Amino acid sequence: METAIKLEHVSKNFGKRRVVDDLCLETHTGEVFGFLGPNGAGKTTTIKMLVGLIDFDEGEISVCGADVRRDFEKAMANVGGIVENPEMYRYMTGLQNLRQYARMRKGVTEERIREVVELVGLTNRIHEKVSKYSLGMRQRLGVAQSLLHHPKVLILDEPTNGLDPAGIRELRDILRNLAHRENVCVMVSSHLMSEMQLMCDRVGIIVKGKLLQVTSVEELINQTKGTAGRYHYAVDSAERAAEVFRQAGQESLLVDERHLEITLSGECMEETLLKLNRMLFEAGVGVCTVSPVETQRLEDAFIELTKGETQIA
Amino acid sequence: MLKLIKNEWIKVFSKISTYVLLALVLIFVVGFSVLMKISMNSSYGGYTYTDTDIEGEISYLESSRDPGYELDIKRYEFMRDHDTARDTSSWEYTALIDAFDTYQHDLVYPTDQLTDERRAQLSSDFDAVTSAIIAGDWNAYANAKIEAIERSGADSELTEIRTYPYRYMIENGLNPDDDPWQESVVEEIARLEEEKYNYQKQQEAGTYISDAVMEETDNSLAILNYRLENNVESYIDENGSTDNPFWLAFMQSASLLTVASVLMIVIAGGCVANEFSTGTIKFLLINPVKRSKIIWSKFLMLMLLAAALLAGVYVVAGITDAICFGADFHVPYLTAENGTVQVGSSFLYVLEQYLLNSVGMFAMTTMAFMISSLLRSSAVAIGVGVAALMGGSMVTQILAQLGCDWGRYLIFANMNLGQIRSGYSVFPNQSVTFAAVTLIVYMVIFLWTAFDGFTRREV
Repeated sequence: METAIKLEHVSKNFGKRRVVDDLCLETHTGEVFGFLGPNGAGKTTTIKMLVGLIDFDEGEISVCGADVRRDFEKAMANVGGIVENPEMYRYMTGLQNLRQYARMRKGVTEERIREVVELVGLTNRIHEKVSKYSLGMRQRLGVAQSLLHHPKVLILDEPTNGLDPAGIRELRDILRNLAHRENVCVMVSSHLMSEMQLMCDRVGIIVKGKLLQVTSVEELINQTKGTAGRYHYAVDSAERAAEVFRQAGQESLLVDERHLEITLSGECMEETLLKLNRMLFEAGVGVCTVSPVETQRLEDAFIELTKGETQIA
Repeated sequence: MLKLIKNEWIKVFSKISTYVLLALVLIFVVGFSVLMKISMNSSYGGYTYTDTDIEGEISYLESSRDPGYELDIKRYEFMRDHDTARDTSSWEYTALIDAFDTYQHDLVYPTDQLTDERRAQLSSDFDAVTSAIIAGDWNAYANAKIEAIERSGADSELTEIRTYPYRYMIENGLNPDDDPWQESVVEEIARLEEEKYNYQKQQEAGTYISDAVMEETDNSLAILNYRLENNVESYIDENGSTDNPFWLAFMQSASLLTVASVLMIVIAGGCVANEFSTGTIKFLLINPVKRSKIIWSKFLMLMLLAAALLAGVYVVAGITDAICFGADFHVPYLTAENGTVQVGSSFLYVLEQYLLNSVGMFAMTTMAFMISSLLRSSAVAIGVGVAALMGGSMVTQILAQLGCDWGRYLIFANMNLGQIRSGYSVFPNQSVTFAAVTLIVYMVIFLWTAFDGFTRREV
């Protein structure tokens, strides 16, 4: 596992406004890294600084050991990416576009072009002009473009934008394969949190230009888990069950005649559940199913973490 | 770098608009040749006087009483009475005017010095010359002229000079009825030789004649003699004028480079700006290539394209003009220095004219490129470029007329190198060196601005 991207105390001002503030981040080869943040948090700015589209005021950025400023060509030789929208030359065919990028990079053969076209599933449409492509197809072409030169670092700004569900799934598989089999560092930014949950190994959360935390996806979910839990009861009489819960000092929420939910908190939720179920049985309430309601998805964790800071900076 | 230039080249030639503009340039070049052909076909012919015309001329002269009208009346009467020299394009017509001016003038307006002897001689010379004119016999006329000149009492050198055209025509069996091109050449030689003779006489008498005047006469004579010796009917002179329609059309087609300039400005104006407006700039810049290389490749592509267009217009104009007028490859470019003739290739001379004409194209392309890079707006770049191309010369004219001498430092005042070289600059004493240096300074400023703007731009 090598360091792929390294940002050290990077800051960027747009006029007087500090868009990125003392950002430190390190990603590794072989991982899919998710870059999360509300609108205007500085995600795209950070990505643009990474690929040299804009300059930064303080700090240092290196890609695979090469300094982005001092050694731009060497650093970029290891980077492939899409920044913002996948805008290609509309008056050329998909293949002609790829050939343009192939000529600007080292060691890209016609064979390799065919390979990436096949990989993103554009083989049948590659000879059409890009002006006839849908957004999803252009996104695929953008991904193909970014993979041409076997980059060690792949930076994709909202890559699932415009893709259909099947396409999203395909892309997810492609990216996870690249990271886990070909040891590529994939950095993805997206607003679709559920997507990130399925795609990423680690996520970094950025708010108002500051990196709040970098954790693995499981850790992030677990962070808020174990402090509260909701359970769904299917019973023969919801009212009688609610009566039993009240006697046990437990609030409940009636969903309908046969369904109700309770929210448990505290350290020993399992003990409480056992006690409650025993009481229901003793009171003669027929219990059909008891199931936990999973609420602590990444989205909730994200909103929780950025609470009060989602105002656009 | 070559691959980057190739990329830019492909981008330009993937757009349909490029082909539309190229077709436009082609239509202009071909259309220009055809229009030249049509306009040149209406050639000038002679006019033949009828009896009514002659009566009309006589009555007009009688009423107007312009100085020398009596002589003219006599001539018209002679023309009518002997039914000769009525066609203005014939040699007889010119010869008759000459006969009246030379031999009748002194008889009609006698002075005190006119001796009887001289009077008799003038009459006999007039009769000898006019009888040959009436007979339409060129050889008899030429011999009569030679004899008359020999008798006129001029010194041997002058006699030699004055009889030269007639002797040359007779010796070479040339007859003006066949309209040989040598006729005007030998006449011009005689005229210049006499001029030179007069200069020498004046110099001997102590009048100052500048060397430049003498040298110019010598140079003109050298070229005329060269043409006779080497049988050169048509040639291009140092001012670029020629009587050969093919070469004339070929040279004038150089003005069509303005149309090519418009094409170049459109391409240059879009070349950087369009990358921004379509968003493709981000994909261009995340490649492992320095920005300076990308902007260089764009500029070099433009220069390459301009050079290709220049060559294209030269070749296509040459071919279409050759088709329209028939190419004559035996037309040399003749100049003379110190009385020695220098023979140059006309193709090279015309190419030089094209190159001088294309200076504006290269300059305006660079300017549009700069604006495109700096403002990222193709509309502004193209608009300013075309306006400068069309209105630049007008602005310099106005400034020159208003006496604003700083106008000479404007780029427009220095773009027309061909004009400046031939000495017709808008501002006084503008040398080619000055223009070239000014242009280079502008180009460097344009390029530096374009490069700096592009490499530092936040995308």
